[in-house]
Amino acid sequence: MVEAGTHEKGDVFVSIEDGKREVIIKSKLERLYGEAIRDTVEELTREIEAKIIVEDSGALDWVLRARLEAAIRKYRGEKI
Amino acid sequence: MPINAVGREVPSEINGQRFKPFAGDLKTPPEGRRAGSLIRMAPRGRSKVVKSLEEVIKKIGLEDGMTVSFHHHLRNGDFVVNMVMETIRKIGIKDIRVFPTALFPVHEPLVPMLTDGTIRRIEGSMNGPLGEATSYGAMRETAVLRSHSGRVRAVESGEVHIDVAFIAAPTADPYGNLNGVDGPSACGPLAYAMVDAYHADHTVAITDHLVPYPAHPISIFQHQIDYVVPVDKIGDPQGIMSGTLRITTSPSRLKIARYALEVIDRVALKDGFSFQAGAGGISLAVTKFLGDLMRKKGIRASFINGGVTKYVVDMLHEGLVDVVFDGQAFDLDAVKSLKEDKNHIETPLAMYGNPYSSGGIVNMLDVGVLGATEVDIDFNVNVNTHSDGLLLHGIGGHQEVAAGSALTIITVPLYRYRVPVIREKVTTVTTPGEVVDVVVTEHGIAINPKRDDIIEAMRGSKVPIWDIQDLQKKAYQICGKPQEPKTMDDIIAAILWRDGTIIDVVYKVKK
Repeated sequence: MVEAGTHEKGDVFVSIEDGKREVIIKSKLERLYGEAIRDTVEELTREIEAKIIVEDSGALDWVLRARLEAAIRKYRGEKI
Repeated sequence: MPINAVGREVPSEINGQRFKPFAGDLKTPPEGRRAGSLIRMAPRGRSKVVKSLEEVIKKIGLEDGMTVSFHHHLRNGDFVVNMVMETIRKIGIKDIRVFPTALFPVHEPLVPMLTDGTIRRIEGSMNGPLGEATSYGAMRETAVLRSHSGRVRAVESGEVHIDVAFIAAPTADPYGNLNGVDGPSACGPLAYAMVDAYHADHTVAITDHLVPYPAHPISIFQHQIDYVVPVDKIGDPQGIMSGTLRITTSPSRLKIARYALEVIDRVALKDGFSFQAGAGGISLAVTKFLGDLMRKKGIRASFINGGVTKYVVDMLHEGLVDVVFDGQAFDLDAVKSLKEDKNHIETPLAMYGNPYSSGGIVNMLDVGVLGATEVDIDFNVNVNTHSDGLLLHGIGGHQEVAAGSALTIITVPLYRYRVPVIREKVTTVTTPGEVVDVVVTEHGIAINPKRDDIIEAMRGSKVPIWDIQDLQKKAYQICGKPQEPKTMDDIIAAILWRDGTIIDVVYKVKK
């Protein structure tokens, strides 16, 4: 399993582990940005066949993108 | 349902009581005469001490459906509300209307009483868990929120009649003289409770510091107090006092404070000016910076209205300000100063900003600096609900300070985490744009277009000046446009303007 990000306010925590593709998103801002977060996660992880967990504490979209990218690269064993 | 002056659809009846729609500040004239309380006669004897809350409640004859009131000078350290309500629940009295000035997270034990029949509704500020539970529909009737002054007006006008006022008293004597400046649970003034002491049919002081007659100084006088109940502890000093309040260290918040300071400097700073202080991080920074600027320029203020903190007290004792008006003390420095300095004056809340009076302190304010949860492109302000619709805060003195001050400044970050603060429409209107003059963010300021004088005064300033719509667009550009939160049709709370008209309502949120 790989991880990126934190649970601090304004950040987002992402983990990816082997398994069937499954995306779990938890956000404090579900009512306001649930759809936007799902769209970004879908866009960036579309080709990842794994279990992806996103725990958002109010991150801006580019923070979410950066954390997702870091997690994906770690999962693929790429250099960051 | 009628549409009010800020474009919100509001009911004309709440809990079977008629209310008018908001028509604009000072647009709805008062009617009638002030309401009174039951005339009582004290029995012979030199003590009003009753051993327990249960005994006093039975003596008074509290019945199903009655209204009990509380003040919030003990804030999140208060034990009295829970103590009294638990006693009422145990006795088996039902359908109580709770009428506090404000409730805090410490009052979470009242949440189950919303559904077990003890409480039918709360009319007052609900900070935290009680507001959240109410948002999800736990309260049987509709909550009513009023500002500090709006609450005074409601009591004086008879809109709310208090059957029993339970008054937490940090110091009391056996014959009912009370103050808040002494004792282990000292809180400073007892300003919030004064209107209750005057207008309730029955009054009970609850104290953990019973002193020989006469207690002094006296904030609430013996002829208004029927019973005194000694208990072990009325509160936890850790929660009553905020400790030393710290000025924000966030660079963006400090930038907001500096921009606000420049607006004050250009628009209002002159010898004898006055301002409203608060205890929020940005507000403290503005107070501190203002003190520094006044010292540098040799300017003296006539009064500060508080929200009193060490920063305000230091300015008083340094001679930067002549008088401090105190309706609420936030730290022990403020309590000590109130006790010792004759120029630090405890003011009854009735003197604060009730529009239906012969004039409050707020009418004499040159500058009011306030916060907000949201501000919209019409300059309307929300301090009650979060952007997801949850009711989590009270109104405080926001409405009257904004309405009274010659210069009303709202200090807010452009966004908090991912949530835009400057929006197309606020979730809930607490304070209408007509009484808001300048919105200050870390990206710059927006001036209400009707204030030509401020626009003129800010000409040549280095502070970036924005059209408020562009500020809003900037916020959405950074955060992304938020979804409309899904609320239901049920109204869970009414937000009253300080004159008792309905400015907005809050809808139930789906869990």
